[in-house]
Amino acid sequence: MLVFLLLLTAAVFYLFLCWKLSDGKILVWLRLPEALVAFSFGGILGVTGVVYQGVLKNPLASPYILGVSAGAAFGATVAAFFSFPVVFGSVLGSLASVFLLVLFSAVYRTSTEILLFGVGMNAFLSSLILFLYAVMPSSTVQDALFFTLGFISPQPLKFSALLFLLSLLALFILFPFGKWVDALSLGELGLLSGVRFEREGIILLVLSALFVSLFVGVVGIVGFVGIVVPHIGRLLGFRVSNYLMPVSFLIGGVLLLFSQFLARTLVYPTVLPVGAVTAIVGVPLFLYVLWREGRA
Amino acid sequence: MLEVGVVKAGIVRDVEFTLSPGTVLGVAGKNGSGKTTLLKFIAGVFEGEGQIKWKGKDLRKLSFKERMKVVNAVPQNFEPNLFYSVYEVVESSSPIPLRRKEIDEALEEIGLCGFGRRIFAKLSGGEKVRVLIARLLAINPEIVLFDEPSAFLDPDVAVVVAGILRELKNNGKVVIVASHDMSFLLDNCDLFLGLKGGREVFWGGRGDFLQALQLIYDVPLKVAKVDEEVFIKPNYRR
Repeated sequence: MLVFLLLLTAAVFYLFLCWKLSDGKILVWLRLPEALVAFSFGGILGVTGVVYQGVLKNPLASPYILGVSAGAAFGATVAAFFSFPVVFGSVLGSLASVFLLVLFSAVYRTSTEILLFGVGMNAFLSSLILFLYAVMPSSTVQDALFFTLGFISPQPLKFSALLFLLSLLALFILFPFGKWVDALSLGELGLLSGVRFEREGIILLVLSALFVSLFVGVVGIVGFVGIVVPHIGRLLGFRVSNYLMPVSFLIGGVLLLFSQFLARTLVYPTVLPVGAVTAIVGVPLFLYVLWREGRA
Repeated sequence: MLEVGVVKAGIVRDVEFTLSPGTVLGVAGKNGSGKTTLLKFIAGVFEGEGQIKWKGKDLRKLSFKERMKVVNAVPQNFEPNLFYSVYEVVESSSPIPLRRKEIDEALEEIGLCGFGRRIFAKLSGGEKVRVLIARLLAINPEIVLFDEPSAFLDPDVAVVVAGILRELKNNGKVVIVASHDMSFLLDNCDLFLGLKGGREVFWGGRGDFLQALQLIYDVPLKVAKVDEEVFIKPNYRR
């Protein structure tokens, strides 16, 4: 695992080295914003992954798997379709899907059922997005498609710095609730600490969805970071959320930065959608982590 | 005084009793008779109609967290799906902040010295139950609920648990124990509540409890006395 982390950091250094070799202006005005967006989104996905896995007591949960990201993407696509601001669409979309999730959780209480409902909602919303593509004017489909795949498009430096600050803010807002996450992850025993899914859990789910949706509105859907990252953190020995959250923020940030680096260099000069790369990197990594955890 | 009056909570109907501090109540009944539901209702984990008063104050008016400080439980079975250490399980599930030293003392009391850093999920069934009991000792609530504490336990550990029950009683706690294990209840409780189909079919002391066994369990049970010890067993042989 340590070797893997070293590899990751090496790749990041290499990324920086690449930048050094190219023109300095490109570096500051194009690559730095890109790196900031990648790092902060990855960090957010890592932290919200910790929250979702804890609150839903399921090591497979993440905003992506549960359709919260898909809800945001769907909302954004609808907003783009009617030429509304995309971010409003994504926030509304993800809040709507969390609302459905919470509504469902009031009826079916086991976390497996909630997870399955989320998976179903994810599939449903994804096909709705595809449906929208079918009826969209073909000139806009290309852009929208990259949006579902997660594409870090060039952003102004100020805006990306703002996103970075936002991600730090999200970490600081969610961090104090680490005890709730831990208690909720203990299920029936955690209930005896006075923390309930019906109140504290829902607050956490909604807060996390809000942060994720802001980024989905900018970048699009990025899968597998949210699931894998908390497991890597746990494998490194950080189990309690107060440690796991900041660690996952860092690992998630590095992982998405690394993915963006791959997205840029794998099929040079074409830039791949980062969401596609995270799935390629994330799935084998996920399987590896699960295997290691089973033997730990 | 703990006053419990359940009108309706899940399967449990019309159960009413009052316990004074320093009492151990045994709740007996078959599977599905409502033992666990009754305990959950008292803890406030299971919603229902009725009232629960502790020292004249309505427990239901307390916030959920405050309530957990007054009444807490050893749940029937608990399997975490994450690899938390014993310390982390106890800290995360406590309504009050606990210091590691306090947890260590509680663990020591129940014979799990130095278990703090062990991974909870990898402990044996008996060790898990003991950790949960240590958790309860560290939280130190006024009303203590045990759901099947003697399940999974080796005889030597069951003796330790019995000792803990006595100690809680002597410290003026209200203790409620739900169990299948009739002999364990008989030896460790002062009062007995028999449930059948969620309704109260028996309330009384030790002597009456032995008379009421068949009423509670619907099956003839053999009661034998050897050296002042009472043994209860169903008739397994035909």
